[in-house]
Amino acid sequence: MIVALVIVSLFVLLAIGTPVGFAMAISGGAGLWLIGGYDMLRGILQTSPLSVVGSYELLTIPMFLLMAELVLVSGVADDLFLAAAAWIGRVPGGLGMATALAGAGFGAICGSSTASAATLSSTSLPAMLKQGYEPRMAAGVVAISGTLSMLLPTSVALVIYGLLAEVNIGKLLVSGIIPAILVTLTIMLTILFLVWQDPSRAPSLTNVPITEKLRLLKAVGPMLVLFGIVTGVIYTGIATPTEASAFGASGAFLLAIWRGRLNRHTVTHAFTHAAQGTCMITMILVGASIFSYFFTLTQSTQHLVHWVGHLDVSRWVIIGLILCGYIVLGSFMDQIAILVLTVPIVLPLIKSLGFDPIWFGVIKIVTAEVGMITPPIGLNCFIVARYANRPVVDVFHGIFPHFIAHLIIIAIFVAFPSIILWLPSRM
Amino acid sequence: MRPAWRAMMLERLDRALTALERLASALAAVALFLIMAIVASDVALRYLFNRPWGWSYDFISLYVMVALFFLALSRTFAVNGHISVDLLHHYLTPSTRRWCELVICLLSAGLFALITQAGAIRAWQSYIDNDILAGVLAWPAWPSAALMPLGAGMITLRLALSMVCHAYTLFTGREVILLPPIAGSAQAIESGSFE
Repeated sequence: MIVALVIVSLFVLLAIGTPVGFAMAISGGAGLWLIGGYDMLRGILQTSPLSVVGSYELLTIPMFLLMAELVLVSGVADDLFLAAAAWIGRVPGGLGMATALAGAGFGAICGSSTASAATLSSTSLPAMLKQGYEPRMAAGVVAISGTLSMLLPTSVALVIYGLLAEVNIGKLLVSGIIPAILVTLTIMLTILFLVWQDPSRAPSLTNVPITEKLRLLKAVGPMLVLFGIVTGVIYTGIATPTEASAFGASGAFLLAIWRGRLNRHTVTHAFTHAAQGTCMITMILVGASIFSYFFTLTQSTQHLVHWVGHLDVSRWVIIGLILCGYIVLGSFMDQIAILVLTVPIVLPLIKSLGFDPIWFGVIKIVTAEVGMITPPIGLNCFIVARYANRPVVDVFHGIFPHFIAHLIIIAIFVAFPSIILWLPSRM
Repeated sequence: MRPAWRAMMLERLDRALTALERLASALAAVALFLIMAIVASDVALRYLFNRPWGWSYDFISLYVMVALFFLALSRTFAVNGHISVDLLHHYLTPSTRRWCELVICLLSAGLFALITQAGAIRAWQSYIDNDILAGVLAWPAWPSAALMPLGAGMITLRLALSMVCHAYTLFTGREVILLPPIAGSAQAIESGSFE
């Protein structure tokens, strides 16, 4: 009875717009008060925030957020797109493919999907429109390419999943690499398909001289170095993901200095913004920890797992339903909120069905990517619409082929777990 | 009391609290820089000279991360940095949205007041008992514990002030506090959210 009451109150609080971390702390706290009295609540309020904040692995989140901010300041993204465009611009739909490649390259060093979409919007979108691309298609490519950063090793979303699921964060980060490459290829194939259907959608670029191509290639250098000092260090086991993230942030800091982009204003903005982002995410984790004390004490998770475990259906039906649920949730809820609200409940279920938590994490993040582009809330579409100065409906229209392509790739990842699990198994 | 006088009072309180929050938030940004510098140099020293700092692990997780979180807490709320699900708000009238904000601020202020009180008791206790946290060095526990009531207290004040401002706006029609921007709106994107 108390459990039902607390869950209903959580949803009411969320619905009226209470910040997610606050809502979980308030409803969880109220539940603890109801079952254990004031002393128990006070005890948990005393220890829980400090124990969440004091966990050393949490450091990875501020460091990746800071790295993303500093990479933005350094302006590397513009050059990445120019280089990709020079090399494959002549292929049909080449600029669109260059956008996907720039999205992947940028995503490898900047773990924030919205930051990535905003950056691509300001560089590749005008270039495609100038070339005469169909605006809907151009906007769709930009919105979907921004989401690649959620799968690559500086992904904040993957780290949050890793903290919640208590899996090896190094392996988790590395396991996103091959899926990210496949998703990039999927985006490029989707573009090819669209251009094959109607070549007028994407006029080709004139040729760029080889000397210019080589000159532009230099821009890829800093990106590779940053990618190397984070992913290479994690993969070879030289340092923990936490230490690698601090390396990455320092590298981005030095890069911004080297490129002469660091001044009092940009430095203050980058550090304050990253600090506030950290605070927001940590608050959600604190709320989740208070809520999960309540959930654990009432043994709700065990009951649910027990119930589902005795259902007479295939485990593939259950995982299919869970993923469909995630895509629906993702269309109207923030991705971090979804992770924190669902992972503590869904993960024990996934484990009891015999699935690998790392595999599930990567698939969950791909569904989160889809959530970033589905109406009505798909945040990346709003960002692109704003930069392109076009109605958001146009962007949603342009994203539709990519949405379908993503559903297919999710099915492939579910059917062939080794795509995800092979690379981390070599560590 | 004339209404104008009350509005001015609220504005002054807001200005004072904002100044305090900005100072705390700047210190949080410094904490972030310290984390980056300490961890990166620690790893570099370990690999190049086999001589890491030794104290960095405890120092960061006991004090610097705690400072980063609690000092940024209130300012992050003031700039609407704590994400929420605002699907319903697309369909509500401004005055209904204000009632929602009022309830949210009231309940959240209650929560953080409790955390402030609980944290203050713990910090005071560990100061009197001279608690030491185990580690390579003997770190005193109270500065770490004291950051919790400090940050929670600040956001309690902010929530109480926002609540009074929303109530004032509802009852007098004079807008002393803006409603938070809705996700996807031009305002929200300008203010820059996180994924």
